[in-house]
Amino acid sequence: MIYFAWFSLICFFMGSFLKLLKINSMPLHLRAELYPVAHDPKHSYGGSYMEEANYVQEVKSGLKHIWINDVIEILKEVLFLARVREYNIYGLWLPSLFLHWGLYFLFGWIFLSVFSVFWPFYFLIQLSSIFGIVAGIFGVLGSFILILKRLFLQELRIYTTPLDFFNLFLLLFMFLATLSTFLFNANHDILMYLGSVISFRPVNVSNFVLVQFFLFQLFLFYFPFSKFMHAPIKYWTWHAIMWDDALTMKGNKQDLTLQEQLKYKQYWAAPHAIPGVSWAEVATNLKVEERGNNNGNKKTTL
Amino acid sequence: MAIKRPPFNDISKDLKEPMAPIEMEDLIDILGIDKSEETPLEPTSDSIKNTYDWYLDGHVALSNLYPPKSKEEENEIVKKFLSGFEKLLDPKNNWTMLQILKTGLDYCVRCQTCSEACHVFIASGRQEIYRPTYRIEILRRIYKKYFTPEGKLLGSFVGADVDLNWKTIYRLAELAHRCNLCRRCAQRCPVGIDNGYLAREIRVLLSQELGISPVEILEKGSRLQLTVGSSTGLSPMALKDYLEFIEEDTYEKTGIKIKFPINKKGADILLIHNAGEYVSWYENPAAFAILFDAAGINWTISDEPVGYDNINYGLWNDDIEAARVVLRQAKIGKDLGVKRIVIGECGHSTKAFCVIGDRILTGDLSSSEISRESCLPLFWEIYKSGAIKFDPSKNNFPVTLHDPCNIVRNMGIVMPQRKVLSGIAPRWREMHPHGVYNYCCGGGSGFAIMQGLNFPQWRNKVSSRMKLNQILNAFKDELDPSIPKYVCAPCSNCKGTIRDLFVHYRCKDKFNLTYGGLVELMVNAMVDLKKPYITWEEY
Repeated sequence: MIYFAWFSLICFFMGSFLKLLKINSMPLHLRAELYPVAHDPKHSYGGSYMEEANYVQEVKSGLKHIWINDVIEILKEVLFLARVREYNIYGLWLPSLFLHWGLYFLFGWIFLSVFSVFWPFYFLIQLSSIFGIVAGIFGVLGSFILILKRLFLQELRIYTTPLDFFNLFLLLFMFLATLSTFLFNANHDILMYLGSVISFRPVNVSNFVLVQFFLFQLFLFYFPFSKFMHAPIKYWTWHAIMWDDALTMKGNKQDLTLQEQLKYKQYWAAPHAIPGVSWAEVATNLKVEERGNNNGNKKTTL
Repeated sequence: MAIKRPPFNDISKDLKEPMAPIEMEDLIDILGIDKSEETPLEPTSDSIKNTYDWYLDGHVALSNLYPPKSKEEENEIVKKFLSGFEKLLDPKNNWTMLQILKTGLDYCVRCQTCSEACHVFIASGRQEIYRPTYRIEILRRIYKKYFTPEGKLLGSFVGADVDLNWKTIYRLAELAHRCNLCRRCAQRCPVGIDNGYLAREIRVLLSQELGISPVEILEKGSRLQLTVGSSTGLSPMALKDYLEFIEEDTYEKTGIKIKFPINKKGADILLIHNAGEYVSWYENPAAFAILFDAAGINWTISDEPVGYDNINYGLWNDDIEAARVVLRQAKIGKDLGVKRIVIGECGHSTKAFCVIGDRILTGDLSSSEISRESCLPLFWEIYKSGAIKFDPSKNNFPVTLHDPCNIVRNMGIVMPQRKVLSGIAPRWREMHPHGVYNYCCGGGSGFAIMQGLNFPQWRNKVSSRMKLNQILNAFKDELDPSIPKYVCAPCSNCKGTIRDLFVHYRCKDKFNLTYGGLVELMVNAMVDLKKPYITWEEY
C-alpha cells in the first residue's frame, strides 16, 4: 500500500504533466476564438478589437488585455459550474456541484491531514476531519445522483458508456469509504497511515482506512488516463483556443511558428489535393487547368 | 410530438425508413403562422429514394454522393475514411485544428449542456439526431474503436461500438450537414468543447481525403472560383458588363453617377464583395459605391479572378481550399498596393479572410503588413466622421438586425452596426437573443447555397425556423401587412437564406417583410438622395 501510494502520486503528477505537455505541444491551430473573449475589455457584450476600423494599427500600438477576467471566468466554472447551472436542463448542476466540491474537500482533507502528521494540532486535526466529512457527504450525494440521472434519463443514458458508469461508481465508492472512516471513528488511523506513507514504515490500520486509501490512490493513478482530466484541460480549450485572439505580426514568434508549420508536408488525397507537398505548396498551387484569363497554377509566394 | 432517439448503431444498418423523419407536428411553432397554413412537407420522392442513401431524416444534402455499386467500392470508401481519420489526428496533416479536435474527442463529458443552444435541435422538436453531441458521439465511437488502445482492448465498454461501413460514412456526412457550424453550442460548454468545429472536422476529412462535399461548396464553389474567378461563374469579362449595368441602373434610379474604380493602384481600400451581390442584389455594391464616393474614400475593386469574389467556402469544410483563396486575395491586395482590404457584407468570407487567414498568411502578407477588415466598422467611421448627412426620418419604418454568426459571435464585431442603426433607423429594435448570442439564420456553413434535391425543404422547415420566429417576434406588435418592415442582414448568405425563407412562408404577402443589408439603409437615409433607395419590391 505504501509503495502504491507513492506510485499513484507519481502517476498522478507525471501522467497529468505528460498528457498536458502533449496537448500543449500540438501545433499552433488556426484562430478559433469565440466571443465573448474573457480578457477583451469589451467582454461585457462580446466585442473585440476588430470592431475598430483599421484595427491593425491599434494592435500594433498595443492592446489592453484584462487578464484577470480570464482567471475569473475559469474560476466561475471551476467553483460554481456556472454554465451548467445556467444552461443544463437535465438537472445536472446540483449533483455535479456536489461532486466537484466533494473532490475539492477530499484533496483539502488529505492536504490538511498530511499537515496534521507533522503538526498534530487539535485545531488542524478537527479541521481536516470536517473537510473529510463534508467531502464524503458531498461526494456520495453528487456521484449517486449523477448515476441515477445517467441511468434513468434517456437523453443522458444513450451517451453514457459502461466506462462512464465505472468512473462514477469509483467516485461513489471512494466517497463512501471516506465517509465510513469517520462514521467508524478511524481518524487516528488516517494520520497513522499517512505517517507510514511519509516515513515508509508499515503500520496496522483499520480496514476502513485501507479501503479508503486504496480507492483514493486508485483514483490518483487512474486520473491522467481518464476523462477526469477534463478539469485541467479547460486551460487549453478556453485560454489557448476559445480566447486566443492573437494577431499575426510580421516577424513575431507566431509568424515564425506559422512559417514553420506551413512547411509541414501533407498527404491529403482528394482529387483537388496534392499529396506529398507542403502546406505552403498546396496553397500556392491551385490545381486548376490553365485558362486564358485566370491565375490557375500561378505560383504565389507565402 | 414524438422524439425519436435512434441508437448510434442504426447509422450503420440496413434501414427501411429514415432514422428520424421530419414531421410537422414535431416542429416548433412560428409566431403568426399556423402550421396548417404552412406549405406541407413534401415526402421524399421516389427518385431520391432510388438514387441516394436517404435514411437519416429523409432529406439529402449531398446530391453528388451515390451509393457504391460493388463490395470493392464499399471497402474502398471505408479504407479511405480511416486513412483520412488518421490524417485528421496527425499534427502535420491537420495542424490547423488538431488541438481542437483532440480535446473535443477525448474530454467531452456528455453533460448535454450545449444542446439547448442549438436552433436546429430545438426547432426540430429536440430530435436526437440533431443534438450537437449526437454526430460527434458517433465520430468519437469510431475514433475509440480504430485509433485508441482502450477502444481496441475494451471495445463497447469504452463506447467503441459503432460499426463502420459505407452507410455509416454517408449518414455521418449527411449529419455533418445538419449543423450550421454557428458555434452557439461551444459558448455554453463548461469544458470548452467545440462541437461545431468538430462537425467541421468531419467535413474536412470527407472533403480533403474522399472529395466528398456538397456540389455547391466544392465543385461549383471553391473549385469554380479558383478556375473561373467566382463561384457564381462570373468571369472578369462578365464582371465588367455587370458593373456597367449597375452604374447605368443606379443613375437611372437615383440620379447619382457612380463609377466602380477597377484595379486602382495605391488606393487606400480594396473592397471585395461576395460576387453573389453583383448577380442577385446589385443594389448592395451600388450602395457601397454611393457611400464611399460621398465619404471621399479612395477605394478600388479588383477584376482579378478570386479578387472580385470574396467567398471562401473552404471555411466550411476544407483547409486546403481555404488557404488557396485567402492567399490569392491577399496577394491581389498586395499587388495593388492598397493599405487595407475591406470585405463587403458577407459573414463567412469576413471571418475566413480576417481570422482564418490570419494564421495562413505570413511574412509580407501577415495582418500587420496588409490589414483585412469587415466593412461594418468602416460604416461607423463614415457615419461618425460627419462627411455624409443622414436623415433618419427617411428610414421611418420598423427595422430589426440579424447578427451574422461569423461576424458577431466569431469576430466580436457587435456595436458598429448597432451604432449606425441608432443614427439612421429610428424604429430599429433588437431580436432576442442577439449579439454574440444570436441564432444563426439557418443558412450558415453552406446551407444557404445548397439548393439540390430536397435539402431546401429541410433548411426552410428546420434550420431556419428559429430565425423566422425570432424575426416575427421582433415585429410582434407591427405584424400588420400595411406596415412595411425591414430585416437588416449584413451578410450575403444570411440574405439568401432569409429570401428563401420569406418566399417559402409568403412573408411579403402576410407581413410585408423585406430584407437587405446595412449599406442600403445608410444610402436610403442620405440627405443627398432625392428618391428612396429601398424600393420594397417583391424579392
